[in-house]
Amino acid sequence: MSCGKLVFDTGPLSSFAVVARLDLLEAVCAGHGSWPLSVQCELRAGARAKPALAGILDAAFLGAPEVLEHPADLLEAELLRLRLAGSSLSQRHNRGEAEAIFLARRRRGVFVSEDRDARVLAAGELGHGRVVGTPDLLVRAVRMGLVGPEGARNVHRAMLAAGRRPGHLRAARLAD
Amino acid sequence: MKAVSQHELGERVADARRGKGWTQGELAARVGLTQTSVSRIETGGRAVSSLELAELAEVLGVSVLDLLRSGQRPMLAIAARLGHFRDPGAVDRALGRAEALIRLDELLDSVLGPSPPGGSAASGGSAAVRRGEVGRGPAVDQGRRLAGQVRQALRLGDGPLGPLPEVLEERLRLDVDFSPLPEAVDGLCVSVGDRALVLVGSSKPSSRQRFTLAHELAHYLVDDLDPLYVDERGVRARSVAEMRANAFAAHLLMPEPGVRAAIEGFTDDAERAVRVALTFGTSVSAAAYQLGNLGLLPDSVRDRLTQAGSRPLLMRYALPSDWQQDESGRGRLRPPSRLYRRATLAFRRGLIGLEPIAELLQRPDRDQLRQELEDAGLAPDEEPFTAAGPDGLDEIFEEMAPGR
Repeated sequence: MSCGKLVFDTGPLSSFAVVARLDLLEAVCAGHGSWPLSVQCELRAGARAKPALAGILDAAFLGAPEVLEHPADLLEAELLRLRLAGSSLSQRHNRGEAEAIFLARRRRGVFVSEDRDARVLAAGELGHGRVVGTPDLLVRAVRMGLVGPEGARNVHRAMLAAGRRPGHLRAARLAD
Repeated sequence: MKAVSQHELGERVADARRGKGWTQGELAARVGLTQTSVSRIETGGRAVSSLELAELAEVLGVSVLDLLRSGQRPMLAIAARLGHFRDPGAVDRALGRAEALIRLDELLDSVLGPSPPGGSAASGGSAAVRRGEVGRGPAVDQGRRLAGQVRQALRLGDGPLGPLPEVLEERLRLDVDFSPLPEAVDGLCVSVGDRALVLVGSSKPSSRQRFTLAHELAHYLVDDLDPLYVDERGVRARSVAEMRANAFAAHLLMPEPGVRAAIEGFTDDAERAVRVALTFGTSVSAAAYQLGNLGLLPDSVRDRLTQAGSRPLLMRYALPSDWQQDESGRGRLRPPSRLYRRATLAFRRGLIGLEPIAELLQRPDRDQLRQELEDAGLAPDEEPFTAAGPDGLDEIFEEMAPGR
């Protein structure tokens, strides 16, 4: 049962899915992962063009996607979204990031994202250290003994080779 | 900012649907819901998910924010200056840019706190120029008087004005934006609450942009904005407000004493018009009209010069580069400086993302823009914001451990 404190944006889920290492992500999350419905919908749309993403749609470890319905919650999430997307783009743009930040803020959780602007904005909203990226999860996996440093590097390289931009994985961190 | 209730949200969806002239079934088909679902949403009997709401808003042509926030948004008051040809809907399309800028201003208010529009209060410009007072008499006289008042209040003398956008922003607390508007729209003045914004079409030569800006300033000062005022140039629609705004623009840009000084020593009528245009940064045509209105040019000559256009006259009486300089203004974009300063401040502090800045600057090349902002020291450094990294993650997992 997820307690949902690691709230995922689309990016990290996509990166682990395209290299078929959702098993590693599941182990790192240790029952703490969650995702908003908008992220699931973005992944579902993405899976039509990139079938490798479909695996995440069936992953049970994130639990049922969380749905924002109360107008006050919708307004808060929309204000976050506008700070990322402005008002000229489609109103679906950056919805996943905004709702994940909203949920992480609500439950004093952690926002997991590869989007640079969303990470910076979330850090201001959630407090220092409540924002992590895909490389942080890989380092965590090494520290948990789920994979060795070279294995983590290989996963990271595979993500890059698959066209993902997971962020920089510092070798020194893996060696700690 | 407070949110509406679920019931009010439903009513707003219903209002927007009726505004489109659609049945519930037609709306349902467009957003992939059942008619029953739409009916229940509209009566507040069914919650709306964020994705459904985004879909509804897109289809209905409204913003999610306007559906959700309580209270009524102040109505836009508009004055538009249209070009020679008709284009129904051009003003609505031009308003899209104004709406985007006003929304960005509201967004920045929400993260940085409110900021007075335009320049600092210390400049005292708008306090000295009182709006809505033009006196009586013919429209042309009203415009001339108002221009004189503005020049006097702002201590502008009788010489050429400097860059007009800066004068309006710093001295009169207006926001000024140069954007690609529909070809039929020269300019637009928009007022929402205490925010006032002048948009100028960037596809026109500098001299025309300048005249348009002064023309729109007249609408703002005279309060021609409420509820909707659209100028249509040409004989069919020479309203009092338009004539007043044109006279104001001409006298603000080319005051009589300055014009007389500029033509001193020149006897050729065409050369006089060119001197005035070059001195005050207007088109030769606008200069010829002003000389004619001041009794310094026969009507027949004025008409001949206005039909000739600037290029041949500048080539004959000045330099080809003068015409090129005027033309170089075409396509130059300029955002309101107050919004730019606030948006970059918010970006640097990590309060907004790159996209609102790209929207403000109308830049499609996001990576290049990000690099330019970084080079200028205007981008946030990600590390201080998110430096916890794996160590922080360890702590977070410890916090999440059972029993804590």
